[in-house]
Amino acid sequence: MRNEKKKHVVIRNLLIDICCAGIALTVFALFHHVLPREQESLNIVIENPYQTARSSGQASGKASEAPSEKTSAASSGTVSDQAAGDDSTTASRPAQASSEETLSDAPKLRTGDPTGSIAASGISDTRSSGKGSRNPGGSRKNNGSGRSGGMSGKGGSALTGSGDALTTASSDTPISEKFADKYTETTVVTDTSYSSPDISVTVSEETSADGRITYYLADIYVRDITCFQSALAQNTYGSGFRDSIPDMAALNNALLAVNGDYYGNTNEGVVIRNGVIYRANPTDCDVCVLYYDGTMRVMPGASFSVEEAIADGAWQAWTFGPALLDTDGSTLSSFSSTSRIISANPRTAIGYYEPGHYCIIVVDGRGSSAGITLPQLSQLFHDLGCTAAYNLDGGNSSVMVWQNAVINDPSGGGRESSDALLIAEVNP
Amino acid sequence: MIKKLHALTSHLTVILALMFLVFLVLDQFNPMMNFIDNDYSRVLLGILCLSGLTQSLLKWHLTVH
Repeated sequence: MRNEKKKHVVIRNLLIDICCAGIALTVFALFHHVLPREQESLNIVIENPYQTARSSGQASGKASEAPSEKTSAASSGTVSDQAAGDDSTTASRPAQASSEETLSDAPKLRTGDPTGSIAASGISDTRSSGKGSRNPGGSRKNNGSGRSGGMSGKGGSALTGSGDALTTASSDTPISEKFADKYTETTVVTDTSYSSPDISVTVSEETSADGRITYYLADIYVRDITCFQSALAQNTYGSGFRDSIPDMAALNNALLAVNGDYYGNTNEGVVIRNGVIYRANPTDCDVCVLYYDGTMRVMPGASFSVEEAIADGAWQAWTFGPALLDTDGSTLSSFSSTSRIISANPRTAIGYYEPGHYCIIVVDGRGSSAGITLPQLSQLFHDLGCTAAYNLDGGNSSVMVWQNAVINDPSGGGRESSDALLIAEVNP
Repeated sequence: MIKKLHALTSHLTVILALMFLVFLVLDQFNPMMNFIDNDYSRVLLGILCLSGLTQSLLKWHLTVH
């Protein structure tokens, strides 16, 4: 009898503990993933070294403070208008360089500090001081990691659809003269293609040889890399901010939009969007960087350096991975992920041929389409002729929007994401 | 008092242990969700360790006395 009573007490206590654990897990998930929470952002602007005078008209759109000196100083170069922070409360951008500023090979660095008090003299590698490291508040001159106190990580006008803080297409970029046969003097739009003076995109629905896998291939040529944009959900950098890919596409007048790396799910890794470094934390994941000169590099997270990204002119950077091709462009057959991740799933991935030529693939799965494994995806990009390829967020997140319509069959109806990749006109 | 504290730490240890078991399973399914390696989880892990330690020390104390 006594033992029975003891057993009941133990079972009762265990049930109470399980209920409490469930409640605690729910609260944890709310705070960790669900509730929107702006994150502290580095807000370091990497300026476009190929900026031309044509950007001045575009940039003065909705930008809070458009520089007035931007003129036909194209030959001498002007600073990029890609400042983070459309928040009017963040006051003006740092004083723009005068028109006499010459164009240098290295992208100019300008922090997001509205007071301009932070000397952009250099950036410490935030990884060196540990995960989630921030400017320790030391000498700003020595550590220009430029976290502006006035900026709470707002996505800024750099991410608005009007491209008001984005450069206009430049005529003097490494990719501006390439693939001239792909572009048209006027905009030509069909159901499956779009061409203009700056962009050429062709979208096709493909099926694997065995008919089990359906995927959508977007073949992309851009004359100016700033047409290859990113959007942050609700135009805000942080955790818990989500938006649907169609909504982000519509807001940004995107021709083509796919989900990104869902950076808001984690504090790890690198987040560079439209020339603004938001985060550069250590990560075990591969990092994909797209540069102003049109090149794309996929590298181990440990190899990423903020200083190098700035010096080389990083335009976008994503943290998800893995890399799908080896450094010499050959296929990869083994991946250091869980079997569930490697197995057949819906996927979104980006491929790179050469500066100015890219492709995006969205693979349907968990439905009529079987999904694709990482080795198969690697083989696919290799067969397409890509020299680099990178896996982005997949599963229910994989959505492709083309001309304002979702064209794939997202698993589970699709999922909102914290960011999107866009192809959009800079000169609408 | 010590008995109550021992009972409390027992409950706390079970709850936190269950939570971390769930985290481990979820991380296995989707590592990018990062349930284990984040600031909140580190705090909870610290509490779990303290709770376990306190529970053991209290148990020893109760055994001795």
